[in-house]
Amino acid sequence: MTAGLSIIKCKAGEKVRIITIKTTDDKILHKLAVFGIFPGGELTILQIRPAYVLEIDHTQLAIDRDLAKNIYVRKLLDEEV
Amino acid sequence: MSIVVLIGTPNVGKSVIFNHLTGTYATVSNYPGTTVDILRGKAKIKGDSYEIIDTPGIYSLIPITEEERVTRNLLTQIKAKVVVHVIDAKNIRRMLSISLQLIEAGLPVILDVNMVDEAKKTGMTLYANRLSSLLNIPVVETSAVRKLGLDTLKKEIGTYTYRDPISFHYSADIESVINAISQNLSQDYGFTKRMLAIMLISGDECSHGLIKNEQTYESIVNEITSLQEHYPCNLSYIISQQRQEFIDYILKSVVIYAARHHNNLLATLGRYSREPLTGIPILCFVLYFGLYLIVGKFGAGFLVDYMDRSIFSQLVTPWVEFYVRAGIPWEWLQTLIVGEYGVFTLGIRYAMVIILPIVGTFFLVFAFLEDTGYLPRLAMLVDSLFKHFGLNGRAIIPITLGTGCGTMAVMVTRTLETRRERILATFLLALTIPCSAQLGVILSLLSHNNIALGIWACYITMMFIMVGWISAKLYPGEKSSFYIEIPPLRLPLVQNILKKAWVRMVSYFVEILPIFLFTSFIMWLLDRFGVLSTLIKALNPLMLTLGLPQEITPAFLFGFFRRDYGAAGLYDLSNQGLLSDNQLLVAAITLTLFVPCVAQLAVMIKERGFVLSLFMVVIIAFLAFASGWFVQSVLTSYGIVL
Repeated sequence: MTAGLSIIKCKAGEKVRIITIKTTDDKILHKLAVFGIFPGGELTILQIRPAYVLEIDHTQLAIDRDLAKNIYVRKLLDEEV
Repeated sequence: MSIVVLIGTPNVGKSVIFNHLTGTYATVSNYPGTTVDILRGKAKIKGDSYEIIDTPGIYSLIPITEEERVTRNLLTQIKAKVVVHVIDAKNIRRMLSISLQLIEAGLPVILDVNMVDEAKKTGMTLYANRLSSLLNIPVVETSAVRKLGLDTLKKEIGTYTYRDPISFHYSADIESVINAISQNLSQDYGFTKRMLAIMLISGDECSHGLIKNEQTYESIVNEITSLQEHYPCNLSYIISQQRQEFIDYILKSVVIYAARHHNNLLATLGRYSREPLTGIPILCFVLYFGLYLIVGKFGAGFLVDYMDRSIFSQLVTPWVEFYVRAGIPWEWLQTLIVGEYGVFTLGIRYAMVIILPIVGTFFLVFAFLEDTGYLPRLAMLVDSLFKHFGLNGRAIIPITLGTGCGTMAVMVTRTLETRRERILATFLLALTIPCSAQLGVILSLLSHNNIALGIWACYITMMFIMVGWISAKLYPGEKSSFYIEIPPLRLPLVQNILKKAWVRMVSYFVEILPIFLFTSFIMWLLDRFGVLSTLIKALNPLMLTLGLPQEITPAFLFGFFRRDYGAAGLYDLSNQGLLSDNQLLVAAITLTLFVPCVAQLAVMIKERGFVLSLFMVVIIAFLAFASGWFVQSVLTSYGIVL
């Protein structure tokens, strides 16, 4: 199992699986949790500028770089999509 | 009377359900100490009367934002007969997390799965009956916009009786701490002891504040600390994660997802409006069309003119003047009502003629943008720009509101996360953002000269950017990270927009009218005892430095009482031909930047404290006059005549 790649290293349009959230900041974790961002979940990166827009299930969530950099993911393989 | 509380995240159609239940009558009340809207209305269900309360959107019972804090406190303080949790069917996976929290809190929950039609279109099938029997709470499927299922919802509310819902357990180590804490609590503080324990473990500041005085507080904190040592990340996250695992387990037998296909016009427009290449032109269009054409040209131009000329000057004013002069023998009382600074001439007429049409059109545009789901896109697009000002994209909401009314906007800065953001936003609002009334008058003053209008707009924008950037540098400190849900674009319902705008306009008017009356009373008093002319004399030299005629001084004085009084004063002078376009520009810039009106100042003092507000006012007064002097010097020394 790799440590994963931060979302800010990903490109728009990629589908990824969340590996881990690398922060101990309570507020950041809380904000991500209410949108259902947990390790193991899948999300699609819709756009990366001017803010990161992620699609989780049917919700689109815009977050800034400071939040995005904590989310570590791996790209989904074609057969997983 | 029984109370029904509506709960839900933003953009799930709560307000439509509220409107359907309550009919046309509703009142907005500001929750004590905040400005977050709480709507209350009455409903008749099966012959019984109910009070329906619509709460601000929440993402969790553990609050971060002001809205969430208000809703959470409301839930603990009101003994509701039913709490209707409205969720968006498409996002059931995420939203059930709040349902579980409400259940854990021991509240009488009815789950309203709304927007089922949208969810079906995405290929989702939901078995509501199974969900209802698994959770052991009533579950209703609705599509509020299409008026589907609402009668079933009413029936469920009418026949509701509490039954013990599903009990759900966390991992053994967490459960043992929950039990230990529950036993140490002397009371439940509005929720259940179990829920309070869960919230304490999650690090909820409100809950910790509530139980600080419990004798066992120290041992509770110790329990939590030693539990935390077993986990790499915060317990709140672990708890949310376990809750989510449980939801996923339930949903396996309740929901089937098929391949999704959605590509309609609104979805495409929704995408264009958030991507930078197309989003920024759309943003400019929205501002131009909504703010400039509708509020500026139609509201501040046409409507104000129409109300002033055709209604007030011709009908109302002569009528009032006639009766006052005929019926009241005392000269002083006559002038107090219909004199130059009379409470009718200045107070009521200004409030009705200038403020009402402008603020009314502004609220209409704002409600429209709110209901279409456009505002979060606006916030997202400006986020990186606002970061330079020490703010984040969310600050666009008070800033945009500031172009409607600065007073209201300063109150809304409460929704910003950190104290630093609230201070920076308050300062920018007071200095650089003209309110709709002022904006309207200035636009109509300068609109005959496009170059002057352009210079004014550029200068104010430049001040906004420069001052924003510099003040963020001079006042470094905590930042808050930006996150916002981007809802799908939706066609709003006209009656919802009208109702929202109407309710806000009425409550705004009720709040602002006394200030107008009081202001005109003070002006009348100052005028009567000759203080006004002394003040005007004292300010004259300053006006000369700016190259402005002495006649303009009263406009600046008025400007302090209401920003738009000042601008309206300019309007009169300009009509009399006393001001050249150069002078008009200098005066417009100075007045726009000049200290906010009395009402805004009062709110600033209330929200930010006296010392800080005074400090801001001194800087603002200095920057305003320095700017006027600077522009006038540049114009004169280069011999520019506009």
